[in-house]
Amino acid sequence: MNFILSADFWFSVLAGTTPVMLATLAANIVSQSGMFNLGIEGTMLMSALMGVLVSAFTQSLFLGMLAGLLSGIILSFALGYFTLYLEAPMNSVGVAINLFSAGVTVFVLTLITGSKVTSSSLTSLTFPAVHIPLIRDIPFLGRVLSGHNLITYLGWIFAVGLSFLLYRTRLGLDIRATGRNAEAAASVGIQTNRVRFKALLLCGIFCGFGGMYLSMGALKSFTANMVAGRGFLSLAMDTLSSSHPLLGWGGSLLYGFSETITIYLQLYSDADLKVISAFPYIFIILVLVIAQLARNLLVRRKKNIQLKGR
Amino acid sequence: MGVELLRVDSITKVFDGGIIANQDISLTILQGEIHGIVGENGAGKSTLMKILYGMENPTSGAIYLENERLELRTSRDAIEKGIGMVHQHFMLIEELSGWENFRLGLEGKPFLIHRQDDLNELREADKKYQLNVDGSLLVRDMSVGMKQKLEILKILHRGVKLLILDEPTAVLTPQETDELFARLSDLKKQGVTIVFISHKLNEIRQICDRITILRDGRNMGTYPVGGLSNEKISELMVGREVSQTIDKPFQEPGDVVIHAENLKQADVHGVEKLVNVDITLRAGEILGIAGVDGNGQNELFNVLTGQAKDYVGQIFFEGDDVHHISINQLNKLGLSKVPADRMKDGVCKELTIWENLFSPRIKNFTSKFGALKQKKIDEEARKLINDFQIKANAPSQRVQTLSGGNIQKVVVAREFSTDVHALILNEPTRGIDVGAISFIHQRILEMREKGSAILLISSDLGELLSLSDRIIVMYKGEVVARFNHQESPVTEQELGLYMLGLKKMESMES
Repeated sequence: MNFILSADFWFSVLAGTTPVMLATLAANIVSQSGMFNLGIEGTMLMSALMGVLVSAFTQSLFLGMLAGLLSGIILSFALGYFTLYLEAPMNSVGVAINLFSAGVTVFVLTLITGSKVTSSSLTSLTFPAVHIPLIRDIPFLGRVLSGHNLITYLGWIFAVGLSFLLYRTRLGLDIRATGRNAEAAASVGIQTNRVRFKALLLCGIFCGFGGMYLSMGALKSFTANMVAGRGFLSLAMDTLSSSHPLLGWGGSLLYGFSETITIYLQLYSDADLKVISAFPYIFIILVLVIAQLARNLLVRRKKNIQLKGR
Repeated sequence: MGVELLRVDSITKVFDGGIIANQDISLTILQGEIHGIVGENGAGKSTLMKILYGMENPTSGAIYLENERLELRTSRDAIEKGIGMVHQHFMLIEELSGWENFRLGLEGKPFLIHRQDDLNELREADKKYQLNVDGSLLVRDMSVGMKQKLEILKILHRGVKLLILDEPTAVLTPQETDELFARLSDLKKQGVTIVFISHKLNEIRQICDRITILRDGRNMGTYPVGGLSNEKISELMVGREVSQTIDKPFQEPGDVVIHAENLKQADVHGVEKLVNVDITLRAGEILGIAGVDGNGQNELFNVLTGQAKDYVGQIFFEGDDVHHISINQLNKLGLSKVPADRMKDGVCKELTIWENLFSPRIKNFTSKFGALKQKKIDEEARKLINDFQIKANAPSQRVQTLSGGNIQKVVVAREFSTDVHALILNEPTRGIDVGAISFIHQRILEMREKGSAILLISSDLGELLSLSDRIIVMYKGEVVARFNHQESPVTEQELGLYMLGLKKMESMES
């Protein structure tokens, strides 16, 4: 287990955290506005593919990024349009988005590359790694913090920016007010649907970067179903963090940690591979259970009741 | 005659399904007056106000403010034009603080939030209107009276010319009502025009300059308040003479049915909702629970009816500790209940009348293989519909298509028609029409006569005083006063002092 002390390990933790963190930010902003987006998984998947395809055909990273973001925003707006204007139930629209994306991505992939699994026959572009001057020269920390993909750093900025937006700006207050009591917010003239679409816009952007990180950062190509449950996991992280972006970041770090430790264990340990692959999921479930138990304990404490022996 | 501020010109509102809420209503509101709008529940007051506030669009008719025709599509339009409204259910966000609610939606606020600036702005406005709101508190921690004043402040600060108050006193104690009226008089002196909606005649008389009476969606006329007697107003409101007196013979209470000792309960924030509550309820008596909304009455209801088990202390139902008895078993033992929110907890609104009537005891209506005996169900349901004067076409009609009063009668029919030993009522007549109220009052008294032990939680003090044999007052989860109302009657004012926590009885017999 010596690897736990290595800078490479912690570098990988931060890298593995990135897509979940972006998905969690997307979940945060949407639930702060009083909605529930079950379709984050599918939205990220679509962005991952679109970014790859457009960058491969135009050989422009910028256009690829725009395509990835745009598809994320379109799917998020679809959720808004169906639920806010057509009053469809939020959960079914989210499920529909996931099914739609899972199907369409494979269909388009096969149509263009002939492969049902991967886009590796295309030469798509990736986001660059960024080496931060000064910081990269710090021993150990430099190797952990510097050299990440551009999207990882963007994610950090988003997390801090989003909590600032939510708690220190007019739009943030409008979003929180709408999420907690839309009727009251509307009564003082806040256009709640417009506010929710702003939240969905951010959600689409976060999903877009989260998806593109997978196919244009961590890997260099698109693979079918490559989001692999991270979008669903973000919903759990959102609940765990009470929709606070910085707490959500913390929760995502736990995921990054468990994912990375699994990879290392596969390399360095003799234990059964199947058991090891199950580790991140078991770990997350354990964390969720412990967090919930702690929360219950806190509530009971607050209730300040000496439960008599009944 | 003053200057006209607002004119409503032949407003008609027909809802989907053909219900006519407002029919050809015209009225004029003068600059600087307090104008009362009175009428029974369902007379169309709320619909008219929602139209004025841009929440509903009229089917036909027009609104003029200072002779300018208004096209109101949303509340935002109304506020912009200078019409503000304090709703009966406050439009405040409980999790946010006073100042956050105050600045929410204000025009011209910078993108970044400056807490101190907003707080100062609130304090300045508060000083101007003399409302004494503490803007730094979370709304959740404010008293009902302060929440209401925050609402008023919030709206006045938006520069409205017309302030609409929708039944503002329904949630207040008599003392808080006096305080509100004093503030309203001050506002009037500052030139604010106020529309005051109520169905309480003495309040209208106390505060209003002129009143408009609505009945069945029609305007029965606008009058200066001085020129009308109470009898005349009620006649115009109801269209018939109403006898408000309830005949209640003296009755000696019987055995103890429910006995609760030292009840304690806290919510998830650690706030104590019930504090050492002792209650003894005897057969054939009505025990009234008075208190400002949110002082532990709902918690008491949930605990006594077996819906909340996270309490400390003991509750005995006919001598048995109920902690491990399920709601279903309690029901079979003879505990009936009428919850406060009839649409949420009282009925399943998508189901039919008979399903709602018989679901708790559906086993009485099935064959031994579990098939429903439709004929028996139909007969019994028709009988109950008849007995309880439910206006419905057939037992198979969906409950949600009935009016509020009739839905409540369905609940009452279900709960009163079994073998009732104890009856726990939470706001049994809130928001229903006068006819249904007096019918339900009669039924409650019948149950008393038959020997049921009845606990009546109500924020309508008139109802409590006319029905109860004994009254206890709850304040912040604690029992602060007990009265034997049957032997020595108490007054609303007396109750109010305890409800506000201004007085507390030191030693009490339970």
